[in-house]
Amino acid sequence: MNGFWHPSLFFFTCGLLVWLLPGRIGRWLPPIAAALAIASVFTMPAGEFAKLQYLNLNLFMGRVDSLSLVFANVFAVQALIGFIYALHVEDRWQLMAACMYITGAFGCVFAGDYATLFIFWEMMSVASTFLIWLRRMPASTNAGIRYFLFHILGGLFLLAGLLLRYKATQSFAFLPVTPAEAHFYDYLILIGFCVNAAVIPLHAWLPDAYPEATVAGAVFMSAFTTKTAVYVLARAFAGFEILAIMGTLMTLFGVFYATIENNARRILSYHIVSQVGYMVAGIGVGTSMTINGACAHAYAHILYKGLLFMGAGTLLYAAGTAKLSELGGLYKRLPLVFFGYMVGAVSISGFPLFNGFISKTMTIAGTAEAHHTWLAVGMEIAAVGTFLSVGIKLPYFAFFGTPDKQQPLNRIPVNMYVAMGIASFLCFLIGIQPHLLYKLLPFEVDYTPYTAWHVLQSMLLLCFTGLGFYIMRNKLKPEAKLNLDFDYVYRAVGKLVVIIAKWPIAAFDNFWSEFYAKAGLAGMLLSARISAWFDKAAIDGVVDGLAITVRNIGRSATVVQSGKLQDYISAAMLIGAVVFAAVWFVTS
Amino acid sequence: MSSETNNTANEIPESKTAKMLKYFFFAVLIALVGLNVFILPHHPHFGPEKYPGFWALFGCGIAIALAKVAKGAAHTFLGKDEDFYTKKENTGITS
Repeated sequence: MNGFWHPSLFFFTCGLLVWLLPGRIGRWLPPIAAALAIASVFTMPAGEFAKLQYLNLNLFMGRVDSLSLVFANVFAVQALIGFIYALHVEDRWQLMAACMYITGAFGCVFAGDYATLFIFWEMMSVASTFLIWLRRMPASTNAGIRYFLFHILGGLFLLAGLLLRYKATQSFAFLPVTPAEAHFYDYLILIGFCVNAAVIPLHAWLPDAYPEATVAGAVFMSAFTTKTAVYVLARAFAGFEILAIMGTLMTLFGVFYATIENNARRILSYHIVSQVGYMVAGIGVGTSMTINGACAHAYAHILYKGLLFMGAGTLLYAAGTAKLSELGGLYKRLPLVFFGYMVGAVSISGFPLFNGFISKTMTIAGTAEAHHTWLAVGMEIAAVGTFLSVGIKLPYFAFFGTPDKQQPLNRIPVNMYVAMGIASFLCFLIGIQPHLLYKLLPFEVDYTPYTAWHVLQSMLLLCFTGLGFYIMRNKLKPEAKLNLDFDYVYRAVGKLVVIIAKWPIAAFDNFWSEFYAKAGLAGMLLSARISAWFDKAAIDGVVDGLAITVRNIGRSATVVQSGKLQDYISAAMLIGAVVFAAVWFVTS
Repeated sequence: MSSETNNTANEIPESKTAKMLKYFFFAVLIALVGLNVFILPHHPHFGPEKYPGFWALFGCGIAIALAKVAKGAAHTFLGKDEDFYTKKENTGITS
């Protein structure tokens, strides 16, 4: 391919076709769209493309540089892996939602202005919500609503920030901000980004919703939402100290909860919080080495986290549960799933030869070299926790640990194995050939992962974590419990808002109904009586046809005059929209 | 007696291979610390890194501490019944 072909085009068109064509044809299209996206991204020249004017806005949809390309590259690869994994899915709505979701992700990555970014940002929120709802279970429906509300909130912060910014600077340009020059509106935008990056305490939506998503949906969601947020943070807010601190806290917070969680997909969700913490911290430290580290880690993370979610999703698909307390001894019956999962597990833990090793150590070393020693220590503690919970605890209790529970297993489709195989291969390939990834990074890389000391240090840290697990293995037994997180606070606030909102609105609605029943109906009856008298006295017998017409109009009017406040509001909104469209049409 | 039965029911009896693996694992740990005597960082990022065995102690110590603290928190104030929220919703404002 020559020139700039926006990958969103492929996925958007594919989404429409999946909707229109019969399922047996439609489900083969998403991998084709992903393959086209890979071809497009790998041949894309750097530069500025797709600038267009719409509604007096200058939209800039094609900013291609090293930072956007590294994210676009892994997004395209993961889209292909994800769609191969989802090849057996017969629910076309899921595939369509995934296509629209990925359209949004690519749109954000190539967006050169805040208006474009916002449009695609919201597209991602809406489409990803459907990936939760389409599991079609009560728990998913509720979790999806909470997820959506939270992302609406984040989107509103972003919108408020970018509008205030526009008022102050007359520009939607999406450019880096230095901490010294940051204004109030920049911080609003930062909060909006932090919601999607799952920065604590704004992270609660993630471990709440991801475990409730569809099996394939969670694989997509683990890749795109948080990493798009990492990209926009790297683009605009590099060097913000607060991000360095919050990122490190995220690394620790995630592993803390992962250590006590029972649901495999929730453990992995907490590990997204933890791993994204490394990226956020790297961006916050803001040196070329740590930003490189953050981008490299995002790349590696998308591959191994997708692999881990595929492994856990396959367990759920086969056994009907992802709860460790209900699994056990599956390594004999699902050896390939175990193998794929373990490749993901050693990758996330940062074992030499796997991709986590070449990215995580770069971020930690960069943080230490920038004299943020305590933050680097925090990240090392999180590295121990990562291996302890996702590298040993989860596989130990799912695949070994207790005797096989002998539950019947669903047959696993071949495409799931193929997708896990590709992801495993890439985790290993990048682990042994780091230059393949390093050459994509935004800054020149001055770091050698494979020195004797780096390898030995990682092996010491991880193997002795293994010893720690061996000593504590009985204490770490999974328990069928729910662990309170910040969503406890959000749920309480939500209930409070409902209570406060309910009273005045319900009271006004009641008052209106009563007023209408007494005053409105009485008035109408009176006018009806007068016209009946007038009809009888003056016109009766002369224009019967007119009476019939009036009656018919009256019938139509009763439909509109329902007496329900919400009907009047929606009618007013409709009229408003028509007026707005007419004014815009006349003035433009 | 009954607790012993429970334990054996929940754990796989240690096979010969498992025993071998265990000893192999311990041998690897010793070998790693042995190597650490000879291989040390040229420019330590952290002060104590220059002492052999630091990262071994760090890894094992943090793993044990994390398990203790996190499980302790789960057993005292974080852990609730799985239907905690749904139960609450049933008796909440809607009723």
